Amino acid sequence: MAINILIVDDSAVMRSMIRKTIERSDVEIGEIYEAENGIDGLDKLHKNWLDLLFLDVNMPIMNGMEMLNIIRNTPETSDLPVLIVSTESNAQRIEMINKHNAGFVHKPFTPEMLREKIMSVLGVPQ
Amino acid sequence: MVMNKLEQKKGTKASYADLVKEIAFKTFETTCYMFPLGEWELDDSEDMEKPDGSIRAIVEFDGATDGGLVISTTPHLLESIAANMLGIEAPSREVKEGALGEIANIICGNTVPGFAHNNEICYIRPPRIARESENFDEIYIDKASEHVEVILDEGIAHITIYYKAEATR
Repeated sequence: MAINILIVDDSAVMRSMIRKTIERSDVEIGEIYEAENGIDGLDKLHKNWLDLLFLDVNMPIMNGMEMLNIIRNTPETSDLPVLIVSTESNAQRIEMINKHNAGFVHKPFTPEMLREKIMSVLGVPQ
Repeated sequence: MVMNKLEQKKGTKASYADLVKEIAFKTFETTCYMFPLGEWELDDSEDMEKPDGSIRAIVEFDGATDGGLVISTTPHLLESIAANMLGIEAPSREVKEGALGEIANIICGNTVPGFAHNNEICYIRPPRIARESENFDEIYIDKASEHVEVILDEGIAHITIYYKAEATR
């Protein structure tokens, strides 16, 4: 099954890098959409059918945790699989991400690591 | 995990430099498919071009500790970083600068938490390209620093991290 993905990150280079790594991961991809902040991301989310969201934490206008809060509190999107992409290693912050029912991808990452995270958050047995 | 090693080795100046280098090698390997030169190749590295500092990316941080991480590369290495990260040929200057910023961001984000104690939070600011006039040895004159040279198969990168030394106690 091909999956539609939204990448939300304020860095165009990081969005391209995530896109390229997904393409190298052998995951069957449908469409990949991009947004540069939480507001833009919510707009793309409501206009497109999505299976998975890659989300940066630190962004201007609306950050990743604010966007995730809205997603989890909106019935239509409350179950959307989300992977937070960050260099974060602080235990309290990772715990906060887990409480929002989101997966976590630690930078730097390989295509193999990304594939494993995608399958895990989508509940696909490997 | 690199962070676990940081926690174990925290507190010795030499180990900080080693660990910045270790994190840098892992970052270049994972994101750019670049590898450290073997020991038998290092003698030849003396003839390799060194970064001239004309393009530097900096990531500033604050919170449990504060300071900045600065990285510069040779023009050839910068071109290769952007090309390998993004799978494109002939990247523009904007893309190359963005790629260098992201490399700095990843290295900084993985290094800095080890400089804080009791798992306190550090806030990593967005990477930016340094202005030519910025002299970080002067700006961070009150900070401790570590300088490492990262020798890769595609070229050489210089990394300096400035940090508040008392945060490591």
